[in-house]
Amino acid sequence: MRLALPPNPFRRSLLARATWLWGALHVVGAVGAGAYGQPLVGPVWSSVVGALWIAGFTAFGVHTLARRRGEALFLANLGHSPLRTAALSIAWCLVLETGLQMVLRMPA
Amino acid sequence: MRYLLSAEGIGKSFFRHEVLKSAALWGEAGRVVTLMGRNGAGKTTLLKIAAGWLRADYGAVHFNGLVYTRPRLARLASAGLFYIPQEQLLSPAFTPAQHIGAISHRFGAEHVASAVETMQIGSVLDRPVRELSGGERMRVSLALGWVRRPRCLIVDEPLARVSPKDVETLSSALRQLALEGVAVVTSGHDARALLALSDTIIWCVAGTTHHIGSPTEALSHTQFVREYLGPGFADVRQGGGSL
Repeated sequence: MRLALPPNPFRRSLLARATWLWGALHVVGAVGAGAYGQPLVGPVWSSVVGALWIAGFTAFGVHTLARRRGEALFLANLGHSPLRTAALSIAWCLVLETGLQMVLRMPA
Repeated sequence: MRYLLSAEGIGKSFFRHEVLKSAALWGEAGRVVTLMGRNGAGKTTLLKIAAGWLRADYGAVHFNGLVYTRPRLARLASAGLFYIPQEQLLSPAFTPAQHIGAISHRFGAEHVASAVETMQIGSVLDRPVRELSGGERMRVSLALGWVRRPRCLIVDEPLARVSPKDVETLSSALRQLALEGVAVVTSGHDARALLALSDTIIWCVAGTTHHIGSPTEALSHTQFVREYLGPGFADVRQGGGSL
């Protein structure tokens, strides 16, 4: 699996940034939902759509930051395309999202 | 002649401003090919396109026997290309050692010790890249290319804004890589150093490129000397020539 994932510490950095962005978008979403009196946990379909949007925004943000910091070019020189790093961000967001939804939907 | 890397018939416009039209560039195993031309002539754009880091409007890139109409750096890199841009290859948050570690993890650590020694970067290995000078950054970048040992190395303006001592170190390393069979493609303005380093000169002017030939031929090329090198080089000119 040497080729599949960017090497550390670049991978850790990408995932940490994805986690921060994902968390920030959720906080903004939660504050917005609170302001409009919406429930934090909606139906499953709306959570899935919301999760995909958040993952997409996060991947875009991670890609933009990686380009600005020269990491995208460096990783491309290693054979890791920007598309692949975006896919890694999206996959990581979906893992985080699954965990969050499991916690939120757990019976009290 | 069959080239390891060639970009042919390249055209590129930015917001209706035509930067390149039918430009060409190539890299030959064991030789240093240098793209020379004024600022804004399109050298960096052409190198980015040849490296697959920028999409051309038209034209194709051939690398290692394959034709790429939409080249991507990641694919070319996997096939043996390494691209060092003018602005930034290194991530400021990490150290040179971490960059070298990533390259050696992927491509092997056989040349790490010789890279550190040749590029004289032992003292900066554990300092964050953001603390390094321009010359140190370029030496570290070239060390990454040294560790990678690509089939083709594209370096954009390696001798720009570096000290004379660094010019010597960088030139010597590029020459050594070419001697070991790497196709080195470079660009820049430091004419004396680049003419001493190169085997072939390509002149990038008015959005297109002209094959000038060897450094000796470049110095005897009337139009190249008059319009690009300037009067300081006229005294070493030996004959005539024009496009």
